[in-house]
Amino acid sequence: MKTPDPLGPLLAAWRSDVPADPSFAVGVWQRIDRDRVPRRPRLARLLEFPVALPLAAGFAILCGIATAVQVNRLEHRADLAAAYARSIDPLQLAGTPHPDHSHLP
Amino acid sequence: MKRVLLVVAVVVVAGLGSYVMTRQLQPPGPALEAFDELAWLQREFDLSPAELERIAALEAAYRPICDAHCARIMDLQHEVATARAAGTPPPTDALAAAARTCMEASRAHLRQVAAVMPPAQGRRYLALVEPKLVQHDHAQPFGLQ
Repeated sequence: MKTPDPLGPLLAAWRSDVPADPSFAVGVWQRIDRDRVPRRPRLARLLEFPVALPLAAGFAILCGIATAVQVNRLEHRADLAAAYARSIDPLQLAGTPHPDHSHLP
Repeated sequence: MKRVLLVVAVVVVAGLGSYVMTRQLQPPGPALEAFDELAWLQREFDLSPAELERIAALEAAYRPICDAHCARIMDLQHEVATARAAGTPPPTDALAAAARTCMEASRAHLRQVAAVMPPAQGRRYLALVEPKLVQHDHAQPFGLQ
């Protein structure tokens, strides 16, 4: 037959007489704060990669070219439309000011 | 932070630089004498051969009207200049009336051409060309013909 384990009643009867250190928790949090590394924004962390700069520059160059090509295309189309309008507009062919304008010759 | 600023600066310089350099490649505007209106219309508005043929007929029918209006306007301009030089009242009302008639004829012609095109292309044609009729280039030399 097994003898009962005395540890259970001993633990149940145990009381600590040492007063808790009130600065304990504060000290723990201070140590945690000291070791904490501040989190940087995601964009800043992305830009730390060595390829970030050439990639960003390449993307900017592509955007600049695409925008300029689009603007050139729109301007060229407007020039062609203006040339077409000139060819069918007697007022422009004759070089006459707009009739609604007040400075008629 | 310095790294972010460096990347932003490089992006701005690279983007602006490529934009400016590409803009320099802008083809020059068409010379009026060398401009083929029908070829441009077909290319720009994706016209079928039948539509192009109808528009060519409209253009051919409108050309003498346009020339007559142009000649009338130039005659009136000459009369106005002569009257001013002689100190007599210039026929500015007649010139304004003739100009209005020309504008109405030009707009009517545009609408006729637009009606031949598919509806969406016709709307785009009017939106693109009609403002060019209204916007008169004040810097244009007198009597360009």
